[in-house]
Amino acid sequence: MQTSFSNYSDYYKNIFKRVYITQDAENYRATRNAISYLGHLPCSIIRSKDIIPPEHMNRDTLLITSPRGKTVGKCPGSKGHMCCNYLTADLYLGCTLGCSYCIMKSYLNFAPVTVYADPMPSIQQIKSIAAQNPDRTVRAGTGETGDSLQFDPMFRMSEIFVQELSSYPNIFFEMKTKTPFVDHLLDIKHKGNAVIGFSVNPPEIIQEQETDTFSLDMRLEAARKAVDAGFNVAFHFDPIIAVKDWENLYARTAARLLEFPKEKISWISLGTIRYSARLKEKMEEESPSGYVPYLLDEFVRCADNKYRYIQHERENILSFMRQQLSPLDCVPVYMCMESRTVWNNVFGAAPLKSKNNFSIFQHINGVRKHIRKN
Amino acid sequence: MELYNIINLPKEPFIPFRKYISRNQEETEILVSEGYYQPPVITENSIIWGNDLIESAEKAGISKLWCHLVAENPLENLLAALRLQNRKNNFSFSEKSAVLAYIRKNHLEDHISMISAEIQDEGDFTIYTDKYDTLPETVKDGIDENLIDIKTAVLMKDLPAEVFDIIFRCGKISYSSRRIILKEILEISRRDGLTQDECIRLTRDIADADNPGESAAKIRYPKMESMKEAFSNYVSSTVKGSGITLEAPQGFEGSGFTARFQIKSVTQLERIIRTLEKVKESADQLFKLL
Repeated sequence: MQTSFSNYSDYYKNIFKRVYITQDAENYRATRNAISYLGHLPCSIIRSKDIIPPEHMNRDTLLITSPRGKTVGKCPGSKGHMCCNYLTADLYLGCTLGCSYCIMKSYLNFAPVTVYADPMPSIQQIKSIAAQNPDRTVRAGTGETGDSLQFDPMFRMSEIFVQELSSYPNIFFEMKTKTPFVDHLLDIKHKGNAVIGFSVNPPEIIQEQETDTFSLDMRLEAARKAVDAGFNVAFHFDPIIAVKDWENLYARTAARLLEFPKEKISWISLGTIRYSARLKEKMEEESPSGYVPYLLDEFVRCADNKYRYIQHERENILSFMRQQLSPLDCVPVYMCMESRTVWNNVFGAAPLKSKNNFSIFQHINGVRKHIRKN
Repeated sequence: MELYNIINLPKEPFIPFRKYISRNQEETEILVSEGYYQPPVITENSIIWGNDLIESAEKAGISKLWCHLVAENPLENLLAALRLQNRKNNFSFSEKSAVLAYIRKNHLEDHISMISAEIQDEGDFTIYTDKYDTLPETVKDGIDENLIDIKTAVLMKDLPAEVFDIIFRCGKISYSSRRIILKEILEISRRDGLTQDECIRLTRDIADADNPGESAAKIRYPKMESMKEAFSNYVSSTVKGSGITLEAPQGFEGSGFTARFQIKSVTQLERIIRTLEKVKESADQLFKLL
């Protein structure tokens, strides 16, 4: 976990060992921006990513390429669980933040960190979806398959999204991150409804499970800067891990959000730890001790074949969190990938019956589920 | 091919492959006298193939057999030995371990992919063989006797060897439960920070239980198991014997329970209604499980 940060050049210097750029991405502005940070690394221009040797298919390699096909889709959601209709845009695929629970481990094992260096196709698709849904809130973000801001100071693509989408009153474009990398965004003039979303967890959990990320203090300091600059912010308690003394740890973390002006918090999401059998295997393989202590708790297999805490345990945790956040009464607080039963037991109603969450969960027309490209 | 005096042959096996042919004296005599045998393949210093025949011939008092004498060449000899075994994908880990030891002794590491291809259809045979070599003897024996698979054994390597021994010797445990119980013991041990002695004691208690699988699950998953028990008690005290089947959702994940019944007569219907009234009176106990 990083507790201080001086400059981006130093940070990016040791993250990658090599760079591949596909020919079609060579002249994008984002590619050129990034090269100034990566000039010290061996860089190959390639015809297609298929020619990257197998020994370079890992997170030491950065691949800069152009997007193909539909780059925006509905978050895949989870079978049997309520979906919040979030739209995900391909931009950064994979990251190097090393969170123990990262779902990407189970399917991006042999892939370089990939950057789709042309944001325009995604922007056009989001605009088109927004135009088809003028009376609905369209939430879109780039943080589903990677951290939205870890590499953004190099590529400077988020600012293009923010500016291009700023004139659409129904688009809430979210950049979701575990970094404090917001400085390059602060001076954007037309921010529209852009949201910088911070993934939060108690410092003790960040230190143990999000080893290469940044401290809670740094994230919240960045959130403060973002608010001061006129951005909306969001917070994501996901995954919540019921470690020893979790009530105190999470109560203290939630209390820190109360310092932010309610009207600047677009939403707060809650989700307890969940994992597939494959992910558990990967987590155990990667752990130096061969096991992950918090997975020694009791979990049940749910309708989507992911393991979660026993239902009434989850309800206790989520109700507790909701209670901690209750002073932020007008802020939408919602649960990610939870069942209708848990919604009823924690919120007293399904999301579409909740005034605060109605706009978030309302169906969006003209979008299909996002198929991840590996 | 020459007629060799097998009495003088060095009896150290080239690789200690498992014995799988057992012949009695009469069979061996007939085989040899009629010439119905595949001649052993030997070098000056070892038997590459044909140990079983040479051994049974000696026991039958036969001193000479036709043999192929081949030159000493560690790689060629090993490949020939593996091919003549004709058991691709069916070598035990103790055999693979012996092959790996031979490779290391003779510095054949550069030829592992070629050797692997004679042992198994896919992959490098040394990957799990290396791990097998690090396991305690009890566990190795368990793998060779097919009491446990290598992958599970490697994952459970932090357990004391005595734990494996107790579980292997427990006749009440099937192959699939064995894996589950060992995994549960390991997880309990890690969760509760058990010492080796405590872990062994726990294993004895589990193995001594009437149903070791249930016993291990109760300790590993106390919350879920107590929910199952509470539900089972509830069913016994309310609907058992009434013609109503009451089912909880899988993993107590969901919003409701399922009740099933058939009505064949008014009397039966009245009994069902009376039972459901009983269920209604104590429904709070039921719904707090979800």
